[in-house]
Amino acid sequence: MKLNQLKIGQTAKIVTVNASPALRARLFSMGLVPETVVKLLTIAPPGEPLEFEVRGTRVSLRRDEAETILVEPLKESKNG
Amino acid sequence: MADADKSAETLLVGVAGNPNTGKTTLFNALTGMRLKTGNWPGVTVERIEGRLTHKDKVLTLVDLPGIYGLTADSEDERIARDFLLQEQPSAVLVVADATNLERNLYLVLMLLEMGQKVVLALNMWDEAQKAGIRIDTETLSGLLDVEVVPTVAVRKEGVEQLKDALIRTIENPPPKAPDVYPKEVTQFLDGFAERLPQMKGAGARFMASLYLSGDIEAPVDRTTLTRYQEEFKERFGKEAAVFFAEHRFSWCHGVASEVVKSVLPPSARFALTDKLDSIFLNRFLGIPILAGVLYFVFWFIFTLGDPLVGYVDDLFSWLGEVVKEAVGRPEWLASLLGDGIIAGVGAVLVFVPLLILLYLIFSALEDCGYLARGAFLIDRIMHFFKLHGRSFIPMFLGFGCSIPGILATRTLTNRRDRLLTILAVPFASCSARLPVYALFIAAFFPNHKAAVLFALYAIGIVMGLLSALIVGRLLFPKEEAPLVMELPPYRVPSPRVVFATAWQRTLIFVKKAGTIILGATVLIWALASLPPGVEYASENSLAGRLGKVMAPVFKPAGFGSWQASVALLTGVLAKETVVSTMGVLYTGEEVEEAAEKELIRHLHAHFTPLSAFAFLLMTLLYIPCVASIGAIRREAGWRWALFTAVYTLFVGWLIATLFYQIATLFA
Repeated sequence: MKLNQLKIGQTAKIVTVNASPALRARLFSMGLVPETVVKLLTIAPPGEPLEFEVRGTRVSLRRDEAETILVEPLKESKNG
Repeated sequence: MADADKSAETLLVGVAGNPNTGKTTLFNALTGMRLKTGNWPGVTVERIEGRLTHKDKVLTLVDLPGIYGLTADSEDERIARDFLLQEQPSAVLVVADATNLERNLYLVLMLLEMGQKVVLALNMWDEAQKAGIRIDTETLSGLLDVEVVPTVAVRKEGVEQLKDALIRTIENPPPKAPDVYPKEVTQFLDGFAERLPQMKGAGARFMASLYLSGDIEAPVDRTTLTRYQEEFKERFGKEAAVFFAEHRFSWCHGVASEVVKSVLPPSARFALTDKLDSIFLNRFLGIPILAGVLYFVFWFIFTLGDPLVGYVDDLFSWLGEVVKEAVGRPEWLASLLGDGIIAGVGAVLVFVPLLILLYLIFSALEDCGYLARGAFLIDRIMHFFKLHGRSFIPMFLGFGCSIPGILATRTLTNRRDRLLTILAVPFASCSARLPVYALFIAAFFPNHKAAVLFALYAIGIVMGLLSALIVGRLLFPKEEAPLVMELPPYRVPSPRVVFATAWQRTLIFVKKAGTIILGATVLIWALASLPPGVEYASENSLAGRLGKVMAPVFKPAGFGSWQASVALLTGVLAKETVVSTMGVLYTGEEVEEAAEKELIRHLHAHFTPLSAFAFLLMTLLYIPCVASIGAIRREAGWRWALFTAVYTLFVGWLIATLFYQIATLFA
C-alpha cells in the first residue's frame, strides 16, 4: 500500500520511494529511505498534510508526496 | 604543508547542522556578537561570519545554512557543498541535536566522506539528559574518529571545550573515512571519479556518489553517466541514489544504536510535544488557536509598534525642520538636508520599532516550534496557490506593513517559495494605504465605506495569490515546491537568544535596506524640488514635468491628470504621501483637517466615482514603497526587487485600466 493510505497510529515499513529525483533527495535526507519504519501520527484538519514519525523525528508530507512512497504495513504493536 | 604558515592568518571553520539544533545560538556563543554579513556568491542567502581567538589562533567561523544533507539540489545544500569544496575550511563544526543523534549523524557522515576535519557538538545535552537519553561520547568519538563535545548553547556550556577541540582538530590529520560501503562500491566510485574533470582529494569519491545518484548535474556527458549508473545498478542490485541513502542511514542507525541508551521509554522525548500537539493540531481547536495566535502577532507588532513608529516619525520631522531653519540659505541646500537626507534617514529608522517587535515574536514562535505547526495547519490552502504553508504568515503580516512581511519570508527555506511569497506580500493592503482609501471614500463613496474597503482588501489578497501562482508557473515551471517539513519538538525559547537575534537582524536590515531607502528618498526629493526655486512637486518641477509625460499612460485608467501621476510618483516614498501631494497640487496647501473638505471639492472636479475607484486600485497594487523595495533587495537581491517594482506597476495599471474600461461600458 501507499504511505498516504495509513490510518492514524498505524506503522509501516518503507519499501520503495518513487518520487521525482528532486523530491526523492529531500525525502531521503529526512530519513525516509527504504526499510525505515514510519508511523502516521496525525492529519491536519483540512485533510492534509500528514504528520509522520520517522527515525525519532516528526515530518509532515502532503498527500501527493506521501503517495510516492510504497510501504508494507506492520502488525499493530502493543504500545503503538 | 601550507598549514604551518597559515597560523599567522585566520583559519576558516564552517559551522554546519540540521535546522532546529541551536546551531546559530552556538555560533553566537563562540564568536560573540561581532559579526560580518555578506552574501554567498551568486545567491542572496546571507553569509554570516564571526571571529574567534583562542590559544593564539584566529578562527573565522562561517555559519552555513541549516541543512539535513549535502546531496540535494537545493540552494542551501549547494551553498554548503560549494563552501566545503571550494573554500576548503580547516575544520567543520557540526552542531547536532543530542536528543536525536541518528538523523543528525547523516550530515556528519557525509562530511566525513568528504574528508573534512569534523568536530561534533552534541547540543541540547541537558534536554537529552531529561528525556533519559544517555550517549556514550567516548565510544562515539572512537567510532567517528572525531572529537565529540556535549554542549548547551543557550547557557554557553561546553563552549570552551569546543574551542579546544577545534584547535586540536585543525592541527591533527583528518579523520579516517568511515567504513560504510562494501569495498567493490568504493572501488567503483574511485573508477568513476577518475573520469571527472577537476576532481581531486577525498571529496572526489563523495562527489562521484552524488553524480551517480543523479542528485546534482554531473560534469560528464550523459551517455558516460548513464553507462556508469546502469553498471552500478547491475552490479549492486539497486539504483545508486537508493543504495547510498540506504547505506548511509543504516550506518547512522548502527552507530546510534551502539552509543545511545534510553533509560526512559523513547516516547518520553515527545511527551510534552504530544500533549501540546493534541491541542494545537486538534481537528476543532487547531485553526481557531492559529487564528488567535495570528491576531496576537498582529497586535504585538502593530498595536505596540505604531505609536513608536509615530515617535520616530515626529522626531525626524522635527529634526528636519530644525536643520532647515539652521541652514536657512541657500534654500535648496536647506531643503536637501531637511526634506531629502534627514527625511530619508527617518524613512529607514521609522521601521526599526516594527522590525524589533517582528523579530522578537517571530524568533520566539520559531524557536518554540509553533511556527511549523501553523504552516502545517494552513498548508492545504497555500498549496492551492502552489505556495508553502510557511508563506501564510508573511502574507498575513503584509496587511500591517509589507516590510515585516517581506522580512518574515526568511522562514521559507526553498528559494522558489521565498521569491513568490515576497512577490505576493506587497499586494496585501498595508496600513499606509488607508489614508488614501479614506480620502477617496469620503469624497466618492461615503455610503459604501465598508464595501469599498472590503473590495480593496480582497482584490489585494487575490492578486497576491494569483501572482504567486502565475509568476511561479512562468518563472519556475519545472521546480516542485514540496512541503516535506520537520515538526520540531516544542521548546521554551531562550529570551537572551530571542533578543540577540532580533537586534542582530534589525541592524542588518538598517545596513542593507538603508541605502536604497535613503537614495530613493533623496531622488524623489530632487525630482520634486528641482530646478531650484520651484514649489515642491509643482507643475514646473521635474516631478511635474515627469507627471505630464506619464499622464497619458493613465488616461485609459480614467485618471490622466498630471497631478494624479505626480501623486503616484511621490506615493512611492510611502503610500500615504499620495494624500499630501494631492493636497498641495489641487489646493495649493498642506492638507489639514479643515482643508480636507476643500481637497474633496477639487477631487470631484478631477475624478468620477469610477475613475476614483480605478485610482484606488492603482494605489493598492502599484510599487509598494521604496522601503519595501529595499526590504526585497535585502531578502532577494536587486533583480527581484526591480522585477517586483516593474511587475506591481504593470499589474496596478492593468487592473485599474481593465476596471475603468469595463465599468464605463456598463455605466
